[in-house]
Amino acid sequence: MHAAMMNSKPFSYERLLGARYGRLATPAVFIDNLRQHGRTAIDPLPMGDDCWPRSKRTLFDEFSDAHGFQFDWGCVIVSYPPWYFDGELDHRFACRIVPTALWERLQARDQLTLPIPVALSQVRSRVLRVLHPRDTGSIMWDPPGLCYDLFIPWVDGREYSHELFRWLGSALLPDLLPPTLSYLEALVLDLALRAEVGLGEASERGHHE
Amino acid sequence: MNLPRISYAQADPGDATVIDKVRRGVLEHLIRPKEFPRIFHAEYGHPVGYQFSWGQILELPTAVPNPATERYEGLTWSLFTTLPWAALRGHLQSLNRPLSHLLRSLMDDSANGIADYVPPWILCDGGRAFEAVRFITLSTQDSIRARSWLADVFLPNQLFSAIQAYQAELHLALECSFGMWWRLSHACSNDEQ
Repeated sequence: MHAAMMNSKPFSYERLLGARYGRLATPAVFIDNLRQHGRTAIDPLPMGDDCWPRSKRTLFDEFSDAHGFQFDWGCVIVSYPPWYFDGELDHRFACRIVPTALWERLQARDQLTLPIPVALSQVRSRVLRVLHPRDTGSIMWDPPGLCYDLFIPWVDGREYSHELFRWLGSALLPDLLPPTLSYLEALVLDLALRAEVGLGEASERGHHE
Repeated sequence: MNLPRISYAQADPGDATVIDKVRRGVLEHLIRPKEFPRIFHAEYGHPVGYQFSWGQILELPTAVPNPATERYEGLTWSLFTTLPWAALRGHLQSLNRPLSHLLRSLMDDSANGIADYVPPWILCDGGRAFEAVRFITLSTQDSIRARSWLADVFLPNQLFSAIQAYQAELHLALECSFGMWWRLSHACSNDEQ
């Protein structure tokens, strides 16, 4: 209810770094990636260990009623999905950081061998380790309970939303996020390259044997 | 707890020569610092880098590729700041606590104060027990820029402030992890007296 309430009247921030607030569609790359692994947007997601299990957990659920800001690297979704707190009241005002462009690049180069939630869960903690030491002021953040989110910065109530948006607009999005997303892409690419080498070595061994 | 603080007065003039080696990328084989347990040091193989009066910088190729080129062309610098460890040696001995326990209790916080000095385009990883911080670049271009930043900005001008920030995290961890035990043990010894 909390998230739905937030989305019904979207605070005073109509724009964030030039991006206009609006309804966000489910990213096509997530649907394509699931399809490659024989799933649809309404099938249960293959979850990594660092995602909180919830009864509703499909791609469709993760993007239900998603509103926020679309950027060339991905999107900032304002607040959690309406079902997320399962009827419990949560006072946090949060923004979900959901990268998409790097997954599109990896997918286009056939370097995305795993379902995205699984690949992300394998590298997420290493990515967050390079964000952890950076000064965020009063902004707190969590590793996400949602499978496609990189992380979720939040403030302790809607009345502090201006602090969150100020940090997003002045520090995270222009300065900290670009190298962090490069690192995420590098880690997933490394998984793919190592798998290729492993496969190559295995096939070479097979050839010699 | 009244703990010793690192000061600029402890900077060794000889470190300027080592900074020049960093600038030119002249690596040397590094010997394990005596505070660093053999078992953990083994993870680094035969480390190369730079030996300073305050500790060591290991220089390694970054273990992940540059996504733009798919080549492994970045560099990683790991800082082992042994000076604050040495300053705590007597205190830890009096607590009968090994340094490794203290460093593990830092969790991911070792680089929290250091990161304030690091430009955002350098990845700043603080999640390893014995390393105060790990500076990571992915591209050749950023590696060159980062080497210049290390040699011309960070090491000559900001290092001791960064070490002091690291030391503050160590003291905080010492207080949080061992503080209760320390207060209780001292209360007991005072009772005995």
